[in-house]
Amino acid sequence: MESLSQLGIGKRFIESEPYYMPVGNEVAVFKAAFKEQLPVMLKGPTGCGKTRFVEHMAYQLKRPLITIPCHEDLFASDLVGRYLLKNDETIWMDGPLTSAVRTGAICYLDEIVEARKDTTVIIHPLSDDRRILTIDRKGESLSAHPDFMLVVSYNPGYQSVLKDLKQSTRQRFISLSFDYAPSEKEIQIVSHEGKVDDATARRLVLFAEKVRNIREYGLTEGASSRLLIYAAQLIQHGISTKEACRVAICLPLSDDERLQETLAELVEDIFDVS
Amino acid sequence: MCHEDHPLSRLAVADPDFATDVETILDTATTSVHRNDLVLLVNDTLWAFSQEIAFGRAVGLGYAQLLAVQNRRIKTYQSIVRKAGKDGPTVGKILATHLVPVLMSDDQDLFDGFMRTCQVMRRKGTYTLKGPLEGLSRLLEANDVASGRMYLELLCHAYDRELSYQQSLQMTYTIPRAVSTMPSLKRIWQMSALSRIIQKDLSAAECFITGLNRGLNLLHKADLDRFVSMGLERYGRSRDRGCRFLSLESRMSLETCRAMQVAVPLSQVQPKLSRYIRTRTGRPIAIRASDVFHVSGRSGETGFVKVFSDEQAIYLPQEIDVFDARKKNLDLYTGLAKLESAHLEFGTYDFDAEKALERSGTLLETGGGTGNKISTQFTMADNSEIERFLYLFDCRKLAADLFLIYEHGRIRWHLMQQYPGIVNQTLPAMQQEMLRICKDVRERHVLNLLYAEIALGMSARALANTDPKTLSVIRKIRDLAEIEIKKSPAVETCGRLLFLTYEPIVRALEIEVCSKSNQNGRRVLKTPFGRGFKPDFCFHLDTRADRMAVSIQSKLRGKGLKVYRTDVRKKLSENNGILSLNDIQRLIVDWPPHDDPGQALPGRKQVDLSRLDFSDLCETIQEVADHEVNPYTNAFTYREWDCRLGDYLADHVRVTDRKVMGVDGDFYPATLDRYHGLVQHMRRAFEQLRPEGLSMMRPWIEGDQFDYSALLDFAVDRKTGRIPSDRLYIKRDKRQRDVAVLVLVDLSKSTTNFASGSSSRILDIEKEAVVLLSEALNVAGDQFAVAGFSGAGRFGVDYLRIKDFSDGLDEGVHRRINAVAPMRSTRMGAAIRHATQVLGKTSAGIRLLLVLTDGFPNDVGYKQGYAVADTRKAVFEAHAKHIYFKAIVVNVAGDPKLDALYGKFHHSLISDIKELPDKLLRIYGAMTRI
Repeated sequence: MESLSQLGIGKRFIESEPYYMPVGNEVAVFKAAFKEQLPVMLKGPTGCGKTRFVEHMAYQLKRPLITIPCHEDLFASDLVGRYLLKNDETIWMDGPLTSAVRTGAICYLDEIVEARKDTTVIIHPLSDDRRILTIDRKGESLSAHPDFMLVVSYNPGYQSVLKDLKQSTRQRFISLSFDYAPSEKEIQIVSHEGKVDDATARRLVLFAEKVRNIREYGLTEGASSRLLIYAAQLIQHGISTKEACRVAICLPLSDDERLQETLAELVEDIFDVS
Repeated sequence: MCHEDHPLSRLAVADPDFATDVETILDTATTSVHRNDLVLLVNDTLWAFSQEIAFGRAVGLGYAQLLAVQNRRIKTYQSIVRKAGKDGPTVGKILATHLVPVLMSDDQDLFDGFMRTCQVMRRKGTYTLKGPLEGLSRLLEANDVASGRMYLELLCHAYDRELSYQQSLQMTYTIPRAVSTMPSLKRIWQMSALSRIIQKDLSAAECFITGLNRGLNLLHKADLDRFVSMGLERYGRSRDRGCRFLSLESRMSLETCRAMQVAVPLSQVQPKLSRYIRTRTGRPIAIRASDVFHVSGRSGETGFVKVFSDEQAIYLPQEIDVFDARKKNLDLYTGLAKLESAHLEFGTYDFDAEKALERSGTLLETGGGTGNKISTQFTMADNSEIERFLYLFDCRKLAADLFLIYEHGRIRWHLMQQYPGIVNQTLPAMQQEMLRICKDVRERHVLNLLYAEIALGMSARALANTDPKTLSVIRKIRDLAEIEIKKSPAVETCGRLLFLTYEPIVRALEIEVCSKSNQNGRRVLKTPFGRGFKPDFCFHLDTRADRMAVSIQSKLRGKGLKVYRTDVRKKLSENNGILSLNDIQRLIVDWPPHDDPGQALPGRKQVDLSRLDFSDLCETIQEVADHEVNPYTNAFTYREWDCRLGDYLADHVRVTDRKVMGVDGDFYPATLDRYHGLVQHMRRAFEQLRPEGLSMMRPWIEGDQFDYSALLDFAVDRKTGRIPSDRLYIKRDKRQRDVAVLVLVDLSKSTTNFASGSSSRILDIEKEAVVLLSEALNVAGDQFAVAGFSGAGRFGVDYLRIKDFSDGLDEGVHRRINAVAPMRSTRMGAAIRHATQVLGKTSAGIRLLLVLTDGFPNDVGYKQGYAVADTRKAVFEAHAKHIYFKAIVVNVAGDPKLDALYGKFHHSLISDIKELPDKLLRIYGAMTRI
């Protein structure tokens, strides 16, 4: 168990409803996919609400959620499980994927492209109509619980061509595309999550929209909703609006001085309400 | 031709063409020319002809010009020219030509100066006269008599000293050239500074002229004088130090100049403003220079519009020198740019005359006799929408001024809602300037007061002691404007306001309605810092889209469908001049709104739409079929995607594939030298990309064999009762890096241009980037090839191989990179298809096509939408063959069309090309990291 917690894996039922504001028909699609036992792929830029969506759906569907952040040292055995030594015996320890398959949880592989190739291969039989997990070491083929669901996410914006998902992997998933919410909705999200008034949220979103204009101008991605919420949270704690924007939005986005200058100018224009 | 008795008939015998010229000039005279004067003209001209033809012509034209304006000093002209003629026709000709503007300016001091200077200069030789006097004529033609006097003084000082032949010859070039580049408002004091230096030493003057171009031109009069004094003082001590100081070469002089500099030139703030405007509007908006903007030349005085914008650009003064502090001038620049970008952001240029008319509703029928004009003026295609709308009013200038007032008011309202910071930063300066303008009693007229109230939120009462009746009208109009704008903040509201208030303003305030003849008599609106707009100027940028919009609108109207012209035009420019039926469908509005909702026949309408023939609106494809094929090279044919046809044109393009002939040179090693630091760093970084074949991971939690040292630890831990680690294995991991990359370089003609702020051409920087990338790829061990492409028509696409996959990075490649030069156009689709073909033959697991380009594809019959669609298609084809595509676009501002061209994630933009070598390596590294 210790090694599992080291891997940063959380397994849980979600107890209170995570806030999520639907933008399109993603909730209905996800529910239908759950009923039809189809795996789902979420695409979208960072901080636009992919993880929150999965948490929200897990709550709605009343299933436990196991989130696995993928990274390049994640081996198949980290997902499936391994033998451990205990009191001169070897005992089998299920990995997070295996326990999700057994218990009928939603297994969420975050940033799937970062995982090693061999890990993506083991999810292939799980993500088609066979729905089985082969555990080599035990010689076991595990059929998935009817409620088991596989969800993966990735961000098409920044990835190495060496790490692109193979078509054989891609074509096993239905895909939901995420983007920053339309401004009116984003305002609601920011004011709800950041607990700020509507006017402040509106200004934050306007600022973010302007920043997203200069994607490609030195920014690989625009200001995420997450950063806006951070800024809102700081504001709520009495940090001045301009300072909150600077530390929560401008500085994290880029190291380029000239770009910072432009962003600072814009902050001044939008938030100087004196 | 002239009658025989006419004095000019003698001239006509000598030179009929010239006589006609003279007669044409004389015809411009307001009163008839006296016969005696004509005789004088002919006699002297014939006399001069007898010496030299050119002299004769100069004399004839000179007399004619003077006589045409009834100049009193014709006798003076005669005596001087006669006298000069005796010294030779060359001197005669020069004086006969350049004396004319001097006499015409009717200024005794200038004339005396002219005579004195000519005398001084003639002592050095006749050759000194021509260039400097031409310079004088240019000044006088621009009506700058004061500068003319100063210029003559300068010449006098320059030549009234010991000079070698070389020195005086050189001055005939340098002085006129230096003076011609001086901005008119600063010319006098810059010349006086030059004159001070010339008296001291000639070579110092050369240095000073260099210094002027480098930044001294931005100094105020007193500061420039101080700087020159410091320079001359240094010069007295050491010639060399003085020269370095005056030419702004020494650090000290640069610092001194910078500290004194108050004026801010546009070039200094342009990059910053561009980035800002891009952020605000999300579009690539150009910043262009309008006019110089100066303390004594504030717009308030001249009434010229100096700050304005149109759909694609913001025009700002070339230089701002309004305040005494540099920071304030800088802030003014930023403030003006921010205000102007608001026009782009809040849709000023989306104004649709038709919408505005509809919004004005019933006003139309009663609206001051304007209704009858609508049918005739409104259908004009050659004017901008705003202009077209303003035609509906008797006095267009007044209507334009009122429109501007409401529009600025509307923009202020929007800014207060969304950008309170901008209002806080800019409004005080604007109000201050308005107060300054209104200090002049003549300027306290109703238009300016309205502007102050509506656009600047000031109180008219504070500005002027206007009578209460006028004041109450102004208040009423302001209240109306506020209510209307709040109700509907779209730009068309300004049109409605104009309708509502035009007649009352004309009537109640007794502004004389101007007809064409007395337009000059009307008082004009003077806005702070000359902010305004030029409705006639905004137009003519995208005439084609406008014409297409008009034609589409009328075609649809014929079918009983209504679209707004501005909507169509906007869509057209967004889509690169292509409009799909779906687009049109979305633009169609229900009209009239109540009569017939028009939902009964949507299907039939769609059929109608599909029958509309757009082909006549599209550009016809020109084909160039006369390109010769070199039999010694390989030619390939490729298909091309025709977006209008929706299909491929088979074997449409011929690509000639050949290897570049190498040229000796040291470009390659020189580049490596130049980027020495980066090369070192890059070698290290790319070495890390190189896989080590098998990598051993230990101690690992699983693996092929035990790690014995870990096993020992395990045994010890167990004995001692500690919890042993489970990392007992060694794992061998096979890491492969099987990448083939083809770098395709755009060799179009535009790469000849110099990169902004650099002395290198775009292609040179691209080549440097290729050199560095080649080195890097060599280190990383990736297979790679380099090729260039260019095109001239569909049969003339060149694919130039610089390095094949099989070539080593040897001397041959160095020579070929050296030989690469800019060629013709960019037919990108074909080049990408050929590169895909080449790359497809390699067996690598990962194949990557990197295109290095400086803009959009463009070739004969390969423009805009067509080119974008074909290139996009070629990129798709590459994807389908499992080839990754990445375009690196340099030296253009960000443009949403790039997304359309290459796909959202398949291009990187490097707006400052100087960063290319560094960034290219980073991009490649990031793309292929394991």
